[in-house]
Amino acid sequence: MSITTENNEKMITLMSSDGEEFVVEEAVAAQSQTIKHLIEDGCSTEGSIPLPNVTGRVLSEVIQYCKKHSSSDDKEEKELEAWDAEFVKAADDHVALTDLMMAANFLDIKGLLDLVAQTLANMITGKSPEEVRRMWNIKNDFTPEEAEKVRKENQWAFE
Amino acid sequence: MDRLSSLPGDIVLHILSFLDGTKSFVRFSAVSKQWITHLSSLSRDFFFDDESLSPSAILESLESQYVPKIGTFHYTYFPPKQYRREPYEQVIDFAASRFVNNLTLDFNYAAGWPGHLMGVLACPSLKTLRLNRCFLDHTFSFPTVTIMHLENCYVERFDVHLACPNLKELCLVDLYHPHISGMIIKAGPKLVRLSVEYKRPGQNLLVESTYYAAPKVRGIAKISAPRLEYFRFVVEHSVDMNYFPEVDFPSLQCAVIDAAHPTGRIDLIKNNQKLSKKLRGERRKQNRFCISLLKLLQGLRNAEYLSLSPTLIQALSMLPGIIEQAFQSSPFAGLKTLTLLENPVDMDFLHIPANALVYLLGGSTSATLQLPCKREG
Repeated sequence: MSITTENNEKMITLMSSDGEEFVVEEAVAAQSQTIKHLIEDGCSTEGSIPLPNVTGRVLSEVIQYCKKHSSSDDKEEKELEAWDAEFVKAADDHVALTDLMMAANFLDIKGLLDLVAQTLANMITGKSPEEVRRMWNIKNDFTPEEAEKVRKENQWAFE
Repeated sequence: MDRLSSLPGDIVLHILSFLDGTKSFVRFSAVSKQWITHLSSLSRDFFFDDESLSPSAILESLESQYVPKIGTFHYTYFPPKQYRREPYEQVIDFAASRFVNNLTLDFNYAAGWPGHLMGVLACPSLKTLRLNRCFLDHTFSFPTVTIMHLENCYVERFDVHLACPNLKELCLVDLYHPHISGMIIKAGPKLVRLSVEYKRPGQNLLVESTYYAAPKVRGIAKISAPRLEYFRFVVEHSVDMNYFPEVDFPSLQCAVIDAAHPTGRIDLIKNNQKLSKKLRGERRKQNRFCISLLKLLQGLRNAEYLSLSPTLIQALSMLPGIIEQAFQSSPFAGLKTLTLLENPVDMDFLHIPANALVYLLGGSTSATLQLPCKREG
């Protein structure tokens, strides 16, 4: 499958939560299981597919990923890996990555989901619980006694 | 970004499932309660109870899987018929390297010296340890373990307060040890539950061990536990166990003593008739039994709930004259309920001697008696 336009690939229009429209080939969009099912159910016949959970900025990144991965079946695996590494590096901070991951989760794109999860996991390895909480605004729901207990029990893991 | 405050659970789980080091797993349980749930859902349990699986096969299968963390690990080692070096220690080391919480090991007496458990000894996450058919020499020590269950184990020396200072619950089933006059157990300040069971006393370990000459299941001479709340002592009725441990349990609340009279012939020591040599020996044995029973009961004086098998109460009424004065006043000042356990052997003649009841119930103003109910265990 190639990304050239002369073939008669069916085009799909995706609309982000902030109203931005993206026109992509069906094969690219179908990398997302969610969209694939919507197409199969006939939801794409009239106008665009609305994606209320995904902003235009994130969607453009997702589409970038899908394009690469739908066109690179015959390419070297190594090259794809290098591309993936560059791709997550470009997203850089954990906020963008988390947005990307939520989108990948909603759109059900396994490859992207795993790629971003791995990146985030690498990011938090070596961080303290406090740093992780700050990263994602996670509420510390331990009482001081509970926190002390957890810390005491797992002291060895911090050493 | 406020939107991020609600990081969905499945996203968190997915990220955590990519963590590599097991240490990270444990460390991030301090992030939030939700994360504890996520992390524990990622931990894996293993049960290896299959004789046809060699340690090498188990290792191979373990190493081919994604195992970030182990919750429960259950392993029975079946030694080969002919001696062959097998990497069973590495199987245990694998569990330790994945920071196992609950470990159950059965070594069939083929292994299990503390030297073989080195990996586990150093495992800081270990909470529950169940050992069956293992040898434990005086070097063994499990500082992080809170629940321990030893069954058919050979224990050389057992200073619970030193070896397992964090132990809360201990269960000993058929303890083998080399001390002819009984073992002495000293528990730490955290032990609250203790259960001792005898199923096959006097039996030898079926091992071709060159280290110890035929260790036997033997009794316990003394137990002290400053914070113990629950004590259970069970001797199977077919078993000829002729003495009880002396105990010191200042914090005791509940005790269950379920044991049969050594020979079942309770009326024997009642009569003052001339006895044959064999019966005299029998009587000495019974006297020893009764005296140790009385000592045991005195050690249980703080109990609020006491359950006894009926034959024990009958035995109490037949104490030899010399210690009868000890029998005059009841030590059980705080007793709330005395329960008679169902006794399968003697159910047909359940007569409860009054003096024994006075001894047990007389010390408390509000004690109630509960007649045979289901036998415990």
